[in-house]
Amino acid sequence: MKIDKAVGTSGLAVLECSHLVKSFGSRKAVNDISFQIDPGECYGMLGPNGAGKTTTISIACGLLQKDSGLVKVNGKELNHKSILPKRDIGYVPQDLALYPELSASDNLRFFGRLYGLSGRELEGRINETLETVGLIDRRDDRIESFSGGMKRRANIAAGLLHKPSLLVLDEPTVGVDPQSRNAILEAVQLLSNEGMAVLYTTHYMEEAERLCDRVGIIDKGQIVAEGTRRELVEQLGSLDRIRISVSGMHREGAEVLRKLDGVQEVIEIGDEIEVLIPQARLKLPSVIEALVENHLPLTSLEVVEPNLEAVFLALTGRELRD
Amino acid sequence: MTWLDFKRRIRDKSAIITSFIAPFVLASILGLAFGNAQTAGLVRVGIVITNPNATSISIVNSGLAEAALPAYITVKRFNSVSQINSGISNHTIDAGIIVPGDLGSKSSFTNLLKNIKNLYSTLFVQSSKLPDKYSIAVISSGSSSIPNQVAKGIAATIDSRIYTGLLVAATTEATSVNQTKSATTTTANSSNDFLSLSVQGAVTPLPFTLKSSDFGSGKNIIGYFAPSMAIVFLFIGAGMGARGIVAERSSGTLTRLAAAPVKSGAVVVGKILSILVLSLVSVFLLWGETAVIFGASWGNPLGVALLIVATTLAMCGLSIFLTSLAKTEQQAFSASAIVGFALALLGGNFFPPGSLPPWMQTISLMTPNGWALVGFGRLSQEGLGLSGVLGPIEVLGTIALIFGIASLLRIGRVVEL
Repeated sequence: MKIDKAVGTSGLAVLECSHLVKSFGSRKAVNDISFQIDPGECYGMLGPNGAGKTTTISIACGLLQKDSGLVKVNGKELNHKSILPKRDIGYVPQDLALYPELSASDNLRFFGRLYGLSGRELEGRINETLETVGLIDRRDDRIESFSGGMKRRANIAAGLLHKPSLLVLDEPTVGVDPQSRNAILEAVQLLSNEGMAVLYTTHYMEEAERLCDRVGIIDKGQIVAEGTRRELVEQLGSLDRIRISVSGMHREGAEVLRKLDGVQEVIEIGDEIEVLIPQARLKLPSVIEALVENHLPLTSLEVVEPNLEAVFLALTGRELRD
Repeated sequence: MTWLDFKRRIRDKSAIITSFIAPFVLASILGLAFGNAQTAGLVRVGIVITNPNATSISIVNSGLAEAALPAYITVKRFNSVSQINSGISNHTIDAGIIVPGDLGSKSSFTNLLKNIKNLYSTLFVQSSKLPDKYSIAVISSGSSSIPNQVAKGIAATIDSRIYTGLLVAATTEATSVNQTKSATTTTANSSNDFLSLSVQGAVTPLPFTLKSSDFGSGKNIIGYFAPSMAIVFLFIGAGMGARGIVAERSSGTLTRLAAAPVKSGAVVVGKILSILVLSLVSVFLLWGETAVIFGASWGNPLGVALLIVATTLAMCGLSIFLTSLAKTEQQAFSASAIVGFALALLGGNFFPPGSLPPWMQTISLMTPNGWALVGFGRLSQEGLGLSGVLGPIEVLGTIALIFGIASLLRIGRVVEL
């Protein structure tokens, strides 16, 4: 579950994209997309393959020329003529964009110099970054000898090296084993908590739920919905569910819970009780209090919130992995 | 960008092999094969004089001396024809020469004299009668083999010594006859005198020495084959570099470079420059290596340096352009290998200087390889200076300019996402 943190609301967005449009031939890959990311915010771009995520972030990173629209990084306009704003961006492409014949540290040295790093500063940053992604022990090993997950982490390290204020990750966990995936998500979470703005594209709903403060759901080149997960779920009108087990007394428990303020519906499922209630987490203390007051032995309790998958399905009529 | 990319490329084993090891090894092999340095015994020829006598031995010796055989041809003497035959069967020799036993005998020379006299008179009375050829047999396991050709050459040299002697004798006698035309008798021992004159003429060293240019010596044939191989591998090496750019596009590193705060033009120029730098270093290093290890001379240093630069620019320009047309790395590999070897074959890179037939010489000048070889040949084989290679440099410079601009544009499109 996402750790709550204070997201920057200074008004100066790290990344500001306004009305981006990009066509390939007659196909509009990006159709009037606007969003912004504040310092310390992790913004998830969630959508199926081919939805326009990579095209959008390619424009946002200055890799691809847009047909129209505006991109600003820390208030500076980014276009094909201006390269300075690129210093503030750390880009982690979907591909393993590293030289396999070079060691991890040599790769970072190569890319670090392109960002103006040199000498002790560069060496210090290489060690620091490899530490962050858990590859410090393999710093002198060639990338070609790394496992898939390690390559992915080295790929992220190359984007972090110059301490960017915006980290852009394009589906960084595709094809990664669960252990490495977890390590990647933890690293991103840590960086975001430290104040780095993160633009994270994925088609894994659980990643977006775990990492992102806000999510933009993208489909057919357009952002069809945007907000925190809760806001998106509320747009959908779905309610949270609290699953409760009260040892052998579920019928009595259901009666007590039906009388609670805000409860929309109580369903008995076998030995369990399912309570449909908005903002379940906020209502948990009163639910527990009611059960304890009525001497009902609470054995387990679980909050089930509507997920983004359901939101996506409702908004686009398609599964995320379509 | 250039330096970073160059450092990265020289860590690539295949680039090291293509740019540094392969041209040196091939140049050395070809140089040693076509030159004479340190290759004694490459062609082994046996020779036998049937019933030898002092005259025949001295004539054969003077023939062999005149042949000035290179070190890769060794001549071994045998005592009988059967030994020659078994030597060929056992592969201890590659070819044999059988010199007739009566060489130097009075009868043999008298018979020959008749023919020479006839030849001498026909030169003036327009007779079509030609002398019978004195027959020296050459045997080998294959008539078209190089040893067979070598043995024929040696036999022809011995043969020419005999004829030289006979012509000396015939001329002397004819002059003597004219001078004593009024006399009714000739000296009683004229045949003996003629034999003596013939032998003397046959063994006397020719009044001129054959001046061999450095071509043919192992040292300087390497001085030709080294740049020749460098040209071939320049194309392949530059193709590999350009292929690397195509591969970088699919691997994603180009995307990462494009995301960095450097202009895309700098990425393109940097990548191309790193290919050029590696190519130039490889050729200059080959020049130094062959000079130090083999004592090879590529010719006038300024001319060589400028020609290396012009050749490198032209070959790299053409190679990068062709490779950049490929859509995939595999296509790029095929294009670079096929075109590279076709140009090398048509350009004459695998042949000794001056050995191409005229029609191929014409074709070779339609390739940058051909022009580069003309230039390097003029410097190393003909000993010409810078002025001698200005033409080839001009042609190569034009090729470099055309394909250099085309390459920049093409690679620019490859780098652009």
